[in-house]
Amino acid sequence: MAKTKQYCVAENWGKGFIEHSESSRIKFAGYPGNVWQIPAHDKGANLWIHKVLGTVKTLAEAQAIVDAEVTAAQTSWDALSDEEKADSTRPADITLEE
Amino acid sequence: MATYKDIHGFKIQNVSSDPPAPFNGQVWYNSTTGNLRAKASVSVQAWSTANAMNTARFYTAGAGTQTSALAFGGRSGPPSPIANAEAYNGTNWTAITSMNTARAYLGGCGDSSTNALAFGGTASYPAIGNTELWNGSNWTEVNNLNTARKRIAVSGAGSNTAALAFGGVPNADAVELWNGSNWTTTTSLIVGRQQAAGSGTSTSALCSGGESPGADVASNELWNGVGWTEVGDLNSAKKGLMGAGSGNTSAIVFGGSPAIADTESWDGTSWTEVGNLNTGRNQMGPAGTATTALAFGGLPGPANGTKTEEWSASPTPAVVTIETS
Repeated sequence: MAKTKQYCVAENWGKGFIEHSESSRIKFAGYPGNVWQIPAHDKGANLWIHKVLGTVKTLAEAQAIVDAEVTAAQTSWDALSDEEKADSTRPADITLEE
Repeated sequence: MATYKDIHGFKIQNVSSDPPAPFNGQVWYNSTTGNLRAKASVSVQAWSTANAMNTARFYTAGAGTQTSALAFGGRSGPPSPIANAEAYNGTNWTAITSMNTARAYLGGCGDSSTNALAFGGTASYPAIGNTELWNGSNWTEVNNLNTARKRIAVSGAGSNTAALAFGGVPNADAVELWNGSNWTTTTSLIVGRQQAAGSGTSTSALCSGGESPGADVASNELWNGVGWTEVGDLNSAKKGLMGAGSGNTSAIVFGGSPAIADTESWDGTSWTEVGNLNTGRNQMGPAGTATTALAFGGLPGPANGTKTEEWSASPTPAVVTIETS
């Protein structure tokens, strides 16, 4: 089955990185590590990757970047006191979709 | 039935390329692409990225509008809460005077970056009732909440002189009204909850979603200045979401735990799913209205802690293709 999503790494510089007009046409999903999920086989999405100088990643490469970020956040949370843990939620694992 | 010529005085033009400066409402046939085209006001309901905050934060509070907002307090990373505050001018965030009491999970409201109220939250673990008033230059300690609470949902009126604080921990159904000097206990929520979205004013508000106790809820309550009424539920139960709106007939809620990107729009009767956040998250700071809002900071962190997004639901003139099939 053809993949429906693709991944890239691009640093969010703020205004102009994703415009309203782009967000209304393209379904973006941002993840830790500056990983962005966008539709595959989509001219608008490909133009956006070009605009932001994104580096295209395979699913496995993108997942490894996200995992490293989540593991670091979980390690920080695990070091909290019990009271502090009770006042927050342990960062959950994130599984990217094909 | 009136024809296009009856209305506009001329027929639909057959042109080989789109006119360079069509007027709103103009229709033409593009013979090159084979499409019927028009200039129309299109409602773009979408989030765009905006410039990052200077200090990463979550469990924070917000106030103001999309072009004149404040972010204050929260956590910047485990474990200590922060007093740090920043102002947004529609383009950039600038550090301003810090609050007197560092805290996270606080409530906040206000109508611009020069006018806000911060209340409740937690400085270590227990909830506090401290209230501080921002006048554009300094934070001043004023009278405390009657019931110390954290994880409050909040609705603020047009200034820091009229606000409503509802829900939280440990008193999930407690509601208090701020008159500029004091908090007064008023009618309780029907469904007690924490980490709900608040929107509106002290006389016209919504309390949407949240956790009640142990379970996420979709429940939505409407405040008319006197009491609460259960009205149309959110499309999905969630906590850690944020709200923006100027009254109880027009609002949006966005985000939620653990990394929800959904945005829902309230028309006074029901909620409709609209454009997603570009980065799903929870425990952000909110500002603005149902048509121009701001989302900043949030979890999962720390990467999301400085992110800012701007919501637009305003009709914008655009050239569109008319589908004829």
